[in-house]
Amino acid sequence: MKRVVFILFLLLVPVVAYAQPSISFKTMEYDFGLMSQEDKAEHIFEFSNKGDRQLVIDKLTAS
Amino acid sequence: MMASSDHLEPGEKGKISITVNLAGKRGNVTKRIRVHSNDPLKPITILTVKMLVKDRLHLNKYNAGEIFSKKCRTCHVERGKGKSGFELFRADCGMCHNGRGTAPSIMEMRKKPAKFITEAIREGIDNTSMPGFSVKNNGPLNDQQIESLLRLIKPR
Repeated sequence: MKRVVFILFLLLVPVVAYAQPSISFKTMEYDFGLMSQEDKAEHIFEFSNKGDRQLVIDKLTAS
Repeated sequence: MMASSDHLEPGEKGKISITVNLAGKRGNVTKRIRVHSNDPLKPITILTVKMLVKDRLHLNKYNAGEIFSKKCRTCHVERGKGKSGFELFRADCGMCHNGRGTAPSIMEMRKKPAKFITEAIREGIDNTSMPGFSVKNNGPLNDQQIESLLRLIKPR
């Protein structure tokens, strides 16, 4: 019985290992080109969760 | 910076919107945004936005000589009036020849022969933003002023 549980456990390991969120961006860079100081520089980056677990965005930081 | 939603189910799409405030900015501006997530392979994704910021007066491409025109005079001609040497350089040349812009700095120009420098100030350099500053070329500088700039760039 112990052995069976162990084998079942081994079978589960890959499933657990592969179940993860995966962040995927269409593009990661954007060039606004020539801008005037009065312009508003606004851009939207699109991304998706290509994994099979919930993806959580913790925070965004700028530099 | 704003994310449309911070929890995404598998297959779900999201958006991150970036706004850059350009007031007071000039030249090449690059901003990097780090997206921290629970993706074990990509805990941090770096998004980059780039732009070249110009103020309202310099958005269009002008011919070099236009800096002596009516609308540009206040900054490009009036400030250097009656000045010579370093004061004149600061007033008329420094906005481009400051080591940060596209034009060569004093140290770089120093490597050129005196004759070339005088000629460049008088006649300008074709296909660049350097106009001829001599009166003959509708520029604001007389011979003594040009000589004083030469002495500044190439001290004896």
